[in-house]
Amino acid sequence: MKKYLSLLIFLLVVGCSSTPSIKEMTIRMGSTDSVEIIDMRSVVRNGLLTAQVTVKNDSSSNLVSYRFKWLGKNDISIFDDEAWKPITISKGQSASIIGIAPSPDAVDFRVELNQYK
Amino acid sequence: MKNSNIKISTYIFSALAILTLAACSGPQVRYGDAKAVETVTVDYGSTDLQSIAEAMARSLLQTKVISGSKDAPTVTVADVKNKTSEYIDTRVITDKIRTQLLKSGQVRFAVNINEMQSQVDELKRQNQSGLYKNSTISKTGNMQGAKYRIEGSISSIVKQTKDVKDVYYVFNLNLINNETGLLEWADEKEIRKTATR
Repeated sequence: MKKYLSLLIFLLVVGCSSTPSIKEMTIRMGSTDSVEIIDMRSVVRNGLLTAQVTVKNDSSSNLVSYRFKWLGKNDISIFDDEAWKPITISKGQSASIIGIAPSPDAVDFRVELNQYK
Repeated sequence: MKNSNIKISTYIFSALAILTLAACSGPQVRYGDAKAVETVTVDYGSTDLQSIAEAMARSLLQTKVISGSKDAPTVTVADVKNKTSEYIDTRVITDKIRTQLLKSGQVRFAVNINEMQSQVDELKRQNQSGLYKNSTISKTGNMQGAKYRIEGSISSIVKQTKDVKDVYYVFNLNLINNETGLLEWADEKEIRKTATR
């Protein structure tokens, strides 16, 4: 009985402290359902958080714009909103988007996707 | 009969008056998103300015000279040459880069050539006018020189047919050590814009 209890607590702790999924780290606006994020990774390089997101377009040529949102401690935004950057991805193409944090205070990031006319 | 005629004409008149007022109320003005993608024409635009400044500032922050140094190095901004056929205010690009770098706290900027005149005027005013208390004056001869300078250029290739206009921009930026003359960092940003009829 004690064994099961400790196992249950262990599982709960592991579950609660897991890293956020790709879906949780993506904020979508407009109609960007055809664009799929297949990979997301980050590393601290030269003191700055560098994020790399690989996006794949499943439908016909789509015009998508993206930007990164950099978060510091307590998930507070660092810097103003970035400018939307357009990227043209043909059908079946996957492209890597790289973002570098604007200051060493950034510890986390989110990716925002939007459509642009 | 006459009364109803008058009534009808009053209604018609007031309806027409309302429509005219609504139609002649002038153009509708709305605030837009300053960060949104702008695709009005194929010429140099706000999205190009923003993406160039951001890409260059972020790349510059990663260079060993800046990220690896204990104290924030002093940099000054030299000219960015416009080698395109359009009118492009390159000073705005470097100002944007400078603002982003300053906000990061990793770089310090020294007054550049364009701002020297106001710097000299201010120092002259404080030191030579005799109006200021000696202990509060910013003394001449204490300005800090910049260790590095940023300079670059923007060029474009324009190709046009009856149906398509394609413009390709490339923005180059270099970080040069003022004393040794060595190029410590260089990066470029490419942008392509296409307009189809």
